[in-house]
Amino acid sequence: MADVMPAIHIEGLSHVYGGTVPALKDISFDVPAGRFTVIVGPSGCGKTSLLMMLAGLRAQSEGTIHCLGRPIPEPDPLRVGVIFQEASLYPWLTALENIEFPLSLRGGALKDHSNRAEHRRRAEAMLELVGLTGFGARYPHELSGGMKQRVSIARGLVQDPPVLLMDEPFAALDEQTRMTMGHELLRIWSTTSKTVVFVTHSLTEAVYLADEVLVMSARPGRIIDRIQVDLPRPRNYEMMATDVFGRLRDRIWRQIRKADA
Amino acid sequence: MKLVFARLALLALVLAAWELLPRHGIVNPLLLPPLSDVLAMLGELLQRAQVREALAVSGAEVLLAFIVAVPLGAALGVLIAENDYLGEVFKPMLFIVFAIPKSIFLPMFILVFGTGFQQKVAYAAFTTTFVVLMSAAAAVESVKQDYLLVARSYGATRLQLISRVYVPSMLPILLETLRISMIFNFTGVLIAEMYASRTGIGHMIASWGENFQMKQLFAGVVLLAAAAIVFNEAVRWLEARVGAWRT
Amino acid sequence: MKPVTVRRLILVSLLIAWELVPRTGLLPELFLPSLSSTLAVLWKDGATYGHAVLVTLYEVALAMLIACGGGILAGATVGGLARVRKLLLPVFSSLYAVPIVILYPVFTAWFGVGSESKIAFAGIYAFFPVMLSTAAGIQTIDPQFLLAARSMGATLPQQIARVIIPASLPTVFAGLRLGGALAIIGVVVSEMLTAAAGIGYLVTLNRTILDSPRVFAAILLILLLSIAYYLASRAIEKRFVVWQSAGKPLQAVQQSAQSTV
Repeated sequence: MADVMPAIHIEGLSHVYGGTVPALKDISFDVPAGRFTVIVGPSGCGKTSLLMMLAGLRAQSEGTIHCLGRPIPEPDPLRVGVIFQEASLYPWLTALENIEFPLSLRGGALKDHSNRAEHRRRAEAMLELVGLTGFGARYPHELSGGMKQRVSIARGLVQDPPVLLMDEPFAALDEQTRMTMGHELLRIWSTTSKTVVFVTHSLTEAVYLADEVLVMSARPGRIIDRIQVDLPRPRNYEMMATDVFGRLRDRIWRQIRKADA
Repeated sequence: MKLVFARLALLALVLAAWELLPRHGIVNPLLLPPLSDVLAMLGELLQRAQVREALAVSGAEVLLAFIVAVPLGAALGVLIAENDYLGEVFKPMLFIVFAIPKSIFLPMFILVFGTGFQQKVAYAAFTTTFVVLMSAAAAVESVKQDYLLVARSYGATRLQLISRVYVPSMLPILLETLRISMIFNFTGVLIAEMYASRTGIGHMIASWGENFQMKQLFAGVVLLAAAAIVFNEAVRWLEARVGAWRT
Repeated sequence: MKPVTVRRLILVSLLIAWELVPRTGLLPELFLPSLSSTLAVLWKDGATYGHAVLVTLYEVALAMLIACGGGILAGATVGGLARVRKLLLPVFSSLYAVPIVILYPVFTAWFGVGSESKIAFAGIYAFFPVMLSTAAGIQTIDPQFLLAARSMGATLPQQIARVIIPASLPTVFAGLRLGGALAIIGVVVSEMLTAAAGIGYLVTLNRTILDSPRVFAAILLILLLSIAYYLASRAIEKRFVVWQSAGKPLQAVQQSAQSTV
């Protein structure tokens, strides 16, 4: 394999909350460009903190994080897009305006009107990509949970960052919507060549979505296993019934239980 | 613990300012007598029969108005909460009722009852009833449907529902209702006394003010404020004990 | 019968009763002058009443400045800063138990019988509830909003202008509505107690000379004023705060019922 720089390089990452509570312990891994990596682990294992550090929203106690070859001490929306568990759409903006929001922040002006038309065009393109054409004028309180997350994803994509971080984005949704959204996400991702780091605590979701699954232990979080998911793409629901799928999921579960004990 | 100290320190600061600023003439002592003078006057006042009588009258008015208003307001409030139709009719009107200064009805009460004891009780009861009504209705609505569903699925009778689900669930809220209603009640009595009355502590305070007897006035203010706060905190303590399960 | 219709019927019957009950002698005109005689007074003496309304409105406006200006700022500070909140909020909640009316004689002694004492009293009267309500409202703002904005690269001025201010609008509007209502109530009460001008003063003046139609004319004006303010502020709120969550109606009344007079 050619010696290409990984999209994400983490080495010796450790973190202690408030100086006393160890949250993460000696985490090291690389994510090659264009891969879909899923981090799975029990509640409280620090996976969200890890993501926050990758996004530049939090500083780590020790260790290095490089994203596209450079450190990321503060948020860099042109490099890394973040999608949270709670859609956190602004209720006073329509769906389309929410998607445009990051674009209007550029240049530091309070409201950047210089490229209105261009911003609108890009926002509408994203709206279409997530399958919500025609819903742009709706306010968040008029949208279902799944639709809100789609808008959130569109907002994360609108700046076209090469890296996308997603923190349990489907956790607040019911299982059926979750499955549909997962499938949708893969469809959207396949049209781009982005690197995705996706955090979840659903084992099924992890295997279904990932190229590689990183299994974390309970606090303090360490990486206790790396599992390649060699299922072909595009993935489909029938794969969930196969032996391969079941064994992969089993392996993850056993690792997590072992680390707990 | 640190917070309690900080608050006590704040209180001490305020009290010290009240004492020192007038004493040193930074604030006109005729307008704001020093705290020690006010407290001394308070001691003196409490020994005067006239003052004690006024307090007794006001106390009686407060109590009586409360006894009338609470059952009346509670009954109406429960009715509005339980009966969907009545609720839909009257709830929007409640919003408007609370936007209106109820003191404008004082002249009507005076015209009907005169300026004596009954008028003040009637007026205070009138204003307090609305508060009790609204709180009671909110309290009934707050009892989670789930709790009721579970009890009914076990075959609870209406009486059991009331005593085993509604009452324990509503108890802390009922205490809060009593506490807040009393604030309104107290205010209502004081306003009626200040407006057109020759008895009661409210009237006394008003006339001290009119006659520029600032020490007496502030003594009265301190006394009433203290009484209100003591009552409030006592009921709050009770609420906390009874409603520890409420997050 | 639709509830709206019932309410309208109640209103109409009250108006009819107001006219007929005194006319038919069920109640003496002294206790309840007929609606027509009350309106006749307003018609005849428009100038006097008009002038009184202006005085009252002037006092209300200035009281609102104190109560809403000060109350909202204080509430935002207390609500927004955790340390200040923990220290002061219980203190203010305890103070709320004290009937502010007892301070009114103090204000008349200090400021005289003119507008200043009314403005001071109504200003303080409305200040605490507005402050408490704003403090509570500020806390309902989703903390994720700022996290999302930071992840999109928003600078501090952008965070304030594009997120914090729009997110606070519902709370600010509620504070204005509450402050105005309480200011009207505070001014009217104080004008009724000791004054030389204003509608409240007209109520008391005419009561002492037993001129019931004039008393009720003043009462009617006060009713119209407070209802008009309520309807106007609700309409403005609805227009600007489209996304307000409905919530339980009675709990909302509970919040608005902060007036003690």
